[in-house]
Amino acid sequence: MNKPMVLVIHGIGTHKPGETKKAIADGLNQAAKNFGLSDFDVNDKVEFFQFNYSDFLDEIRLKDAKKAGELVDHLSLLKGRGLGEKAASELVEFFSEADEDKFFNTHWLDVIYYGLMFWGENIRVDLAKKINDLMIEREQGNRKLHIVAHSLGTAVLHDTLAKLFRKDTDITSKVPHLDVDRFKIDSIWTVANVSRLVNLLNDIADPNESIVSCDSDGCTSEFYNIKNEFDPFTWFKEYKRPINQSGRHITVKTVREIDTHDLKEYMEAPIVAEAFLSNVLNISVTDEQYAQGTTKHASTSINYSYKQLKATFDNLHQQNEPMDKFKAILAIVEAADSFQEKITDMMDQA
Amino acid sequence: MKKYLLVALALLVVSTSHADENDIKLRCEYDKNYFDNYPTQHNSLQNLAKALGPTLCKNVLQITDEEISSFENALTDYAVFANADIKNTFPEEIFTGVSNIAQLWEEQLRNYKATFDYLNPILFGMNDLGPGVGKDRFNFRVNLTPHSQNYLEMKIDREQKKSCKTSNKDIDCQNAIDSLNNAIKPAFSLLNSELLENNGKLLGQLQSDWKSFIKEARYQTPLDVWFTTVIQSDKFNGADLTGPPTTQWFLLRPSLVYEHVKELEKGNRDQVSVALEWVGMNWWKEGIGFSFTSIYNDRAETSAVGHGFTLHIKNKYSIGYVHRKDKNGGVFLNLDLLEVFGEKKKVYKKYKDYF
Repeated sequence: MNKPMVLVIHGIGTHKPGETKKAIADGLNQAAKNFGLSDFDVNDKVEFFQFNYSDFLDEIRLKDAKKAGELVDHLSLLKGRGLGEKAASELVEFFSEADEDKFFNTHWLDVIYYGLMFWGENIRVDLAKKINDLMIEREQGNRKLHIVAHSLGTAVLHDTLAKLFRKDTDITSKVPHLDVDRFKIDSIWTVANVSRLVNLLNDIADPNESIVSCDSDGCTSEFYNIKNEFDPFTWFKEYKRPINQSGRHITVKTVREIDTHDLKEYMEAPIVAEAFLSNVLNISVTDEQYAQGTTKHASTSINYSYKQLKATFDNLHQQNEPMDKFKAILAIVEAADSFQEKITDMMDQA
Repeated sequence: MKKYLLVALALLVVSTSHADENDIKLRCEYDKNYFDNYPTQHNSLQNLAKALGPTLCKNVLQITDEEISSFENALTDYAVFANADIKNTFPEEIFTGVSNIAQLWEEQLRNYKATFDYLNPILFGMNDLGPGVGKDRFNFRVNLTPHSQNYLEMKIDREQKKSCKTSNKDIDCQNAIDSLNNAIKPAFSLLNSELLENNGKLLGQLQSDWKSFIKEARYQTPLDVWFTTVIQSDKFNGADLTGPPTTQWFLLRPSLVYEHVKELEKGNRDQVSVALEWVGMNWWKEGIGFSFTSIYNDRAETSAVGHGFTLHIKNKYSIGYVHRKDKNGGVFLNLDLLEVFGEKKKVYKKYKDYF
């Protein structure tokens, strides 16, 4: 049997080619080292493929900025012709910042562009084609197809699969579909799953009810949903759909970096790496190796206990989840800011 | 439903055959090294799968009696042998429930005249439940679609591990599963490839439509895009993957225009003004659209505000007309159109010289 294929889908922000698979590979390789697995390199065990949608979003965002800039180029001509000096200056300043990160945090702009605009559908069609191509390769080469998605990528993946897979397909239709009775992804790994949050924006399919599951009539054979208890991106509209024995929810409870949302950090966590090594690579980590890996990983965590961290951050979780789409986005932005502020203070004091 | 699927498959295969007969022939044959990727200890079963695969792919329509006979023989041989092989590999007294699903699968295969469920393969799998669950941390599963009750999961215990080795020439349960799957899958692989390739063509067409839209359609601001998405939310947020909008919408879109007011004295007739498209539509494939537009330019010679419409032509050019309450009319072009006639800097210089 040929190497398994692992399709990786990045989260929010701009991502260079190869960056996401490197984050995953580096995290897993470090974890394997902590387990005591010698000469291990995940790149020798699997073939990575990357789906990149940040280039497209950047292109659209920059085009919008350019068009706004063209307006600015001519605004000064109107001074004294209905547009005051101050108003013209303010408009020029507003538009000229449109292509800079500070205009509106690029990260959040990605969520808006994907969730509220039809550009999201273009991304989904591209991803569906990529998955379909890999499934052809899988069929011919008897390979396994696993998908790892991070952050906004979890929503992109969920929405794409919800539209691509169907029970009882009608293949006379000119609409592309795959029948879940005949086709399944081998495993799906959602890291910092925000699919329910983004679903507030686009309302494509409720992740709690959709075909994207490892139930017998779901589109994947195995499903692993991973979160860090101290990753503020997972605090609202958390994905809690029950997962049967063909997968599980995995909760990371350690903090080593300020950015608890970081993909490499997630993959390096022993509880995540063990599950990946075992279920994708068929490499079983013994209980002793796992204990060793956990100890080594914990030694580089910040000097606070799980209980202390939990007590500090529990109040940042809102008891009543905001149902309004914009309030939910604002709530998560505020929570992320508060988290970063507090964790920075704690790390400085530690 | 059955008839519907039958017609569907007929259309699929016939249309592809007409498109390229050699192509369809190649797709219903295994690649030269195909079976190198499917190592198995169940050689007899794999040989039957190998015989069934092309037959299933080519003769799925069962058009002639001869083909039906050929298909039925291959299918029955495969079904009977597969059922027996599964039961040998995972004996009922140790893997309780597997035998029942294997039997149901054989019946599903034999029942090919009634339903297309016979095209669904039986799937065996295994996964690790993770550390901390004790010694029996591996999970064994069998899934036979389409009925969810034909799904079975169990933790693999010591006795089952032992059975995997004894019934499969000293290989463990993961390898036993792989070996069995590799014997079963080739029967369905060619047809699955056909279905995937057909699906890929449909997806490729959607990609192509989106590329055309991005390249050819009239530019939309983020607000325009959002507005279009809201109006066509059933399309974009619906259950199916879809192509780009056929109609573009515009909302509160500001722009600068070059306006000519014929009634004014020479020297005051041509000026740059602010235009606002209140709402508009554009059919980008046809290259025609319109917007309700107002123009504002605070000057002594005529009313500051005029109301009218803009006509969008070929997704690039916009011309319009507004009427003012002092009866003066204005014809205008958008600045994008002006840029067609020269480099941006030259146009800019032209404005500066003008003013």
